[in-house]
Amino acid sequence: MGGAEDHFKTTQWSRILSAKTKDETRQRMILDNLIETYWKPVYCYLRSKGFDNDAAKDITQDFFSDIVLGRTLIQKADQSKGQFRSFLLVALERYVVSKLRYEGRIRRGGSAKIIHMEAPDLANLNISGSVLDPNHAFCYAWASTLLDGVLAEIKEEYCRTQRSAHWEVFRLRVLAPIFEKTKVPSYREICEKNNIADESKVANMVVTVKRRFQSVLRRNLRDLAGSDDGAEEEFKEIFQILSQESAK
Amino acid sequence: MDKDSTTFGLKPDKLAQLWNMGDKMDQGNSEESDDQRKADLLFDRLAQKLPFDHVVAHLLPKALAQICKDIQPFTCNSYGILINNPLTDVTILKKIKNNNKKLSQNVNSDVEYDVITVIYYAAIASALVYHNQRITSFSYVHLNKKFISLLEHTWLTSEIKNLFQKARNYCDHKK
Repeated sequence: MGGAEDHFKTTQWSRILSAKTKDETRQRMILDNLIETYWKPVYCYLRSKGFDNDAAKDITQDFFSDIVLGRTLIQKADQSKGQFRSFLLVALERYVVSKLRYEGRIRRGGSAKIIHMEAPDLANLNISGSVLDPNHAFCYAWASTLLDGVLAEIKEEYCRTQRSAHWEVFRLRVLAPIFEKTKVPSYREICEKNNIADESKVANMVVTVKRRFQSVLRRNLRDLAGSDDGAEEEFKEIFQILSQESAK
Repeated sequence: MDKDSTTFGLKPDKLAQLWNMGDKMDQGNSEESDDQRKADLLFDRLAQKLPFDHVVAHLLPKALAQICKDIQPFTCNSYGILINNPLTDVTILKKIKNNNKKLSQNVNSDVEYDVITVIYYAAIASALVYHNQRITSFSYVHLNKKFISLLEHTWLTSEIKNLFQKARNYCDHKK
């Protein structure tokens, strides 16, 4: 092969930092993407803090309007401050404290509706039998959003490339027991259900999709964290948080 | 996952179980073939996207450079889409080719090297087929032989296979 060029790399941080531009259209596009990724974690944090559904929605709108679109967040964005998820969470914590301290109460319906919050009423955050710690609620929602995207991408890819059988085997063996609390089917049962010749083939199909899952999740984490090391840090931290909540 | 399926609402231990599948230490079944690993890695690389900031506008005529700069943030297409799209500018294909050349100099495995080689030649093939341009110093004879040999890989995506076939036919006529 011939030639030499810089390795392409785009990350959450590089996108945020590139929003420090006078080009308002481009800036708005980057921020819209940010809002789409983070509105649910912000909302979940607020609900766990004790705000009711309507108040949490209002503060979410205000936060993104005042701090994100208001450019304060972008102006203060600094990659040396660590992971962007943590940076945003700190900004949110400070925003809530400031709002309560200076306004004395949460102003209802003050901001223009910049986010169309389509999610079902997320009132029931009583996921593990007790309300999640607010920071953990933020991380839970962040991880959930990321995993939804990863699974959707993999499913689309396998179906588009005439490998629906791989996805179906993975769904039966791995996802259904998690989502539907069903018993983990044996390879033999999966063979019979899907007309597959032998069990080792089913085993290989499951491993193939699992490896794909790993690869896509890691790619997304690298994008958000900015590096392999950062991705590994994020992976471990989220797993630790989820494990702590599991132990409650 | 169905459109209405979401991991939100899973108990933390279930979400943790799903999350932990992303653990790099879980290497799974070591009997998985090299071809399966190459197919996975190719999918992954083709799904990567060009960043906002790496715009090749400076290589275009001034009149188009500003338009490109404005449009680029709205595209963010993956390598796979760019390579198989006749509307992709040839300067972007050159960027993809050169980037994979650089990557090939630092690979750790044959699996990775083979995948990078496919993407490198896919960018060349795209320029030939969709832009009638040879963005490499390799001769048509060399390229023809290369595309024939690459087409023997069973782990290519169908889009890449089709592209290599068209490029092979193109080079055959040019010889």
